[in-house]
Amino acid sequence: MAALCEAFTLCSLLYSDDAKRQQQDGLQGVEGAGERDSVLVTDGGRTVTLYKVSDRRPLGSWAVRQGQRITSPAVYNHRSGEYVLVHDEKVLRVWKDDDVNFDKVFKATLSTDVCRVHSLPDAEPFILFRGGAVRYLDAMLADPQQEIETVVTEDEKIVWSKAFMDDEQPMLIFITEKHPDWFVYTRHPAFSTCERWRLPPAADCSKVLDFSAVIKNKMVSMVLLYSSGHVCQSEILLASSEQNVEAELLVSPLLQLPEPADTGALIILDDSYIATLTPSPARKKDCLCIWNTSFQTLQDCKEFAQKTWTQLWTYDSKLFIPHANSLLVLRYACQQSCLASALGKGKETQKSEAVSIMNWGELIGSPKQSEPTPAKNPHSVKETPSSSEMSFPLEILPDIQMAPESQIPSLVQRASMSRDLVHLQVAISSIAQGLITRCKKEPKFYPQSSFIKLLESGTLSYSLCPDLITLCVEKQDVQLLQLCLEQFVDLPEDMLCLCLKTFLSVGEAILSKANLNTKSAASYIEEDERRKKAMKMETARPVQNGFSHPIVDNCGVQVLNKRRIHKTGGQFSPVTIRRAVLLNSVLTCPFSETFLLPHLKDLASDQAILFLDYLFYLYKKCNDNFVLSLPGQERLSVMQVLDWLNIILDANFTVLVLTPEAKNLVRSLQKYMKSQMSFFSELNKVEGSLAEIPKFRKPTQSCNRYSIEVLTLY
Amino acid sequence: MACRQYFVLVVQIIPGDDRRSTESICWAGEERLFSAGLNGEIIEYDLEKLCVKYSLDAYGGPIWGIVPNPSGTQLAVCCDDGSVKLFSITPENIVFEKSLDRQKDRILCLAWHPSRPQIVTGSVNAIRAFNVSSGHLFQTLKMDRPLISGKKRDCIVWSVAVLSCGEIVSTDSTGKLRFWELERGTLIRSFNVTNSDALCLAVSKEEDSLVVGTAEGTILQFQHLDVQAGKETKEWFRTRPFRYHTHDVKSVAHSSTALISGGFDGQIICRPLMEKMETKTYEAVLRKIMFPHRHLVSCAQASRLLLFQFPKHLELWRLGQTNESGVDGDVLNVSQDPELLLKLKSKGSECIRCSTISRCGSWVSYTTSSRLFLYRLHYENQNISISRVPKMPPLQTAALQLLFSWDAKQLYVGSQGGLVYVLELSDGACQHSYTLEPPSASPHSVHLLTASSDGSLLAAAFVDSHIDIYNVKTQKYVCSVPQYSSPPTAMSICPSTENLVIAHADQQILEFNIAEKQYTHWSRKVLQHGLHRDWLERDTPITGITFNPSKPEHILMHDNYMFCVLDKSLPLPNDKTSLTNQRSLKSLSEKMRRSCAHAFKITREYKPLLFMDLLDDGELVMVERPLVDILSQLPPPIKLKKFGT
Repeated sequence: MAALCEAFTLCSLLYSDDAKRQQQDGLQGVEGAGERDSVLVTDGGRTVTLYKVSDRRPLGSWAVRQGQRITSPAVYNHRSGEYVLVHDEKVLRVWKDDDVNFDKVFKATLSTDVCRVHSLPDAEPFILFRGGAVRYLDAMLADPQQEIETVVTEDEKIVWSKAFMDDEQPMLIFITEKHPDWFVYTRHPAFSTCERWRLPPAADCSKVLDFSAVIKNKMVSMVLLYSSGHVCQSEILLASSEQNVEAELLVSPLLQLPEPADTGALIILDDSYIATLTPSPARKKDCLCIWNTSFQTLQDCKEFAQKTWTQLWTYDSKLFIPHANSLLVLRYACQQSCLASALGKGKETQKSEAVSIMNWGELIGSPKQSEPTPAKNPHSVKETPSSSEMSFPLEILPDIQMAPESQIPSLVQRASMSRDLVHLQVAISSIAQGLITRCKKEPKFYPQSSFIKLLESGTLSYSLCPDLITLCVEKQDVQLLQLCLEQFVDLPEDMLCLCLKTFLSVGEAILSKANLNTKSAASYIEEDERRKKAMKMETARPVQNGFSHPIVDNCGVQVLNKRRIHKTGGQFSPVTIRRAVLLNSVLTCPFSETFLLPHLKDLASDQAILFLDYLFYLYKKCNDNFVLSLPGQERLSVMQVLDWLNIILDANFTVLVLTPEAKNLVRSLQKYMKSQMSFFSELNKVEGSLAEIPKFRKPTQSCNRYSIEVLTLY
Repeated sequence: MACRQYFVLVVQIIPGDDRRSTESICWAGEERLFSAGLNGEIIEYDLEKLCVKYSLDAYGGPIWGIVPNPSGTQLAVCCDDGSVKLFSITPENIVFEKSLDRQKDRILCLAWHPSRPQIVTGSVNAIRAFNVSSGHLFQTLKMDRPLISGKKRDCIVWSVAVLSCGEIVSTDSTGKLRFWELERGTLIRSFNVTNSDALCLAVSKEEDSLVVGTAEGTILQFQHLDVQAGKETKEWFRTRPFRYHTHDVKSVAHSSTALISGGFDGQIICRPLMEKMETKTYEAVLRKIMFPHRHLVSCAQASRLLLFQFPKHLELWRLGQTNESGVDGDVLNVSQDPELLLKLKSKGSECIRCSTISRCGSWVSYTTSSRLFLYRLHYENQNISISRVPKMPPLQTAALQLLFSWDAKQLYVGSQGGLVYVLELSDGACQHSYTLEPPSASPHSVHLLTASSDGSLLAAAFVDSHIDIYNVKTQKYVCSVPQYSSPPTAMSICPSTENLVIAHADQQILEFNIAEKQYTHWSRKVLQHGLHRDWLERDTPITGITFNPSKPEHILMHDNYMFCVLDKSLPLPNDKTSLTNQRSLKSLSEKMRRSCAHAFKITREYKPLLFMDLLDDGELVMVERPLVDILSQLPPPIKLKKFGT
């Protein structure tokens, strides 16, 4: 979502007589002035003012003489901390904050007309001349009268320009108009390379009103606003190809504004948001709109009562708009857009009682304890004011590193006898760390039962032993992974996604070996008996020379799925009950959409399809019985299922649409959801009619102002 | 209103007057109460006589605010003509001292600097600061005027406050809370509090918290908190919004432990601050004061009449009757409708302080701040005639409480200083017979009166929870009830046992045996056993007690939200059992019911309850005052869009 926040007036604008005479209104520019909160406002006539935005307070103001006119808005030279402007086309002025008298500041007269001065943070400002030539400011100051070449052809007029940092090199893009054509130039001032493109004329002969551009990964993405209301996008690859052929740019439509406009301004706010300011003839007002270009949706809109000059600047997440006689500042906020966030979701974190939180205050004395080899720092342990209980579990740490695997469970058992909760936590986490370190060193060492014991103590959390999950994934130990999901309340989303991937891809052979509790899920997961048999056959099939049959494991699941969807119509679970139990433990985990979404995108298409199919199956199960949560220990709720359906669709939408295997599934999902929607809208109607009933409940008592009643008190 | 540890009680009411309006009110000096209003007068009240002590014209047109200086020696009023006038408070009255520089536009609010002799005022589009010693304006802060549909609208500063660090806090009609630097006159920070007007503002004594009331009925708390734990820098943060009022919040106060707000909807809300409470129990519960904690209805039990007291008139109604009978829960058909017999408008501009009707219904009396009125009623078939008793005996002090004796031959008039005048009534005339005086002179006025049915005993209660009992026949003082820690809210003498039953503001119920001059055995048992926690945690005080002559062990009581029959013969409930067990008892068998029943038989069927009494024919009358009725008479509140509507 993107939204406009409150607007406030930064300053009032006084238009000088000069400006009025020359029919120039609005502002020449709003530029950042070094600090985040300050801007340089150059008005249409003679004045430059430095404002502190949050205070709405001018910090300084300078004006050129009567009769002179600023032709290039003032910019801030980030290197020298000076301000630069050009007045009367050729006269360059450079001054500092403490200069009061503008007549006395540095002045240089150039030989050629200047179009604009551009300044970027961490770079020397440079000057764009009317002829299209570009020079660094310091070079010009060294020799103001030097000859300047002309790049653009005759009659071409620069209408728009913008500077970027590209690989720590400043680069410039400018657009010229030679009626009726438009040309785009890109220039690296340092290399003096110049490339020129032609902008194709719009199909409906509408003219371009405004441009905005951003640079990303050597690609300039330019957005154009046409008078017909079209917003188009064009991309320019900044490959340093030496071809000087006048290539035509490819312009693709991005958005259609509701109304055409004569004037308008547009600005790119973010990867997926643009702001447009256009007069709306229908409403007779100027409208500032924020559009989401990915979903083509209007995010926020603000109407202005008076004229805005259709000028728009942005700096530091604020929009600057001259409105009537004042300069308005609108703060805006853009957030990552995703479809699922619009639908809302409720997470149920039932495991709050098992939260294990380290009391860091008590552990300050022994900062090395969570490290893999704490036993090497015995003095740090002794420094802590702890009793023998504290030091006892730590004493066994060297043993854990050395002892044969058969002795590990008894060591763990001894360590977990500690009574004090804080010390127990320290002990258990140190032992877990020690075991994990050893597992990494010795590939054959894997004390699964001890890990289970440690996890079941309920004191471990992800942050205490971050490597446990990756270790389990490595060892394909789904039982331990499931236990981790149940026990860890602080599981990060990438780990959750890793577990999900493992559960979706792990082979049936491993699943059948794992010790999983399928009782609670058995009440609602119906497996296809035929498939069970097929599975048995598959697991029985010998693998020869490392060759695996194409329908073993996850591929097999998928091929079978296709068959099953056609034949049984989704009556049976797409996964085996063991896999279902594992997936359910993922579904019940708390998560945050924003962080999970990027990781879910990494799911392989067959995994995504299988998971979606399973979620769809669960959802139908909920609906079959009209329940809000499924039976069983984990109490999987329909909201959780829907949340996951949303996020998986959101993350893998393109993949699902493009994969032919998913076509049937997605289509039936869509049909099902549609029927659900119509069903619930009917229910809504019924609810609406019944809502009146409570009002009729006490008909006699509420309307009678006087009544005689019988009341018995016992 | 007193706000003590456990209860909120409306202690005294000063009746209003049409001729004066109250725009602003303040405490100053040693518990002296001042008010100022749009008639341009400053009024000091006599808190013993509960009337106006004196009034003084400030000669500045309507007065919008009155504020004492921090030391309580001076009063500042802000007037409609743009002047701020200072009055010095003398022990006897107040004396005009000076005017500050007069401004062109009206001044709507003002505040004193906590330590310096400076006054900050708020008016339309500006906040101004004055030096009190010189009387000169030294700072003007201009408000930015909001643009609404292209026009500049005025920004009215509704409330200002000054912090000791020199910051000015203001609320205004644009719905903003702003902080200003007084010396330089710059806006430091601004909060958008509401879309409508932010009307009032109060800062806590420690200046770490403030409360804002808005026209939408919300109150918001702002707190001065550390930006980061352990760092010195502090910022103001909006911490808690509350919404208890349906209409404009006109006034807020910030005590050390609670936020108190008064609204256009007639409610006073006391919201305790959890962090200031040591125990998170009943004390931390929100208190709502909707109705006055005293009777506005009186009943002629023998002749089935109810007298309703309104601010400017009295209404006498005859109750309807039925000739049916039924079982629990039945609504019977009304065979004879209730009938308005009389509407008696009070003379003059003063509001009615209290009123009463005799048991037989033939006498009605009411009193205003300055006069006592007595009427004789005659009933002839369906007609009613009323005659005013012309010559009322002159009483030395104002009448505060009225009560007719059981046989309607005497009118007891409670007054200040603990005096009770006894007026002898004969057909069409009234004479001052004698005055009952407390044995030791009391500074407090009579708060409650009750008489015994045989006409011999009279009990008078004072606000300081002192209760004196007199024998009216011998005209002698009998005894005093041992002083209890909280003031009585209702009392009544039982007709059969002549025991005095007293309900206190802390919800304690005591029974005093007048003959033996000590608490009864049952009362001591109650004190020993303690009352049920739910009973003690009720919100509103008991405002009515009466007895059932046919069942002497029953005490009938009510507060705003419940009616209770207290059966002294049954065991007291302990905290483990439910206090309101009527519904569960109803479902039990007769035998089980007897074993489960306890002394408190409570019904919450009828609420909010203004009045309850038992008629002579055994019928119980209760008067409900539905909130909807009150709200429907108020101007519509600002319409708020609620989700889903």
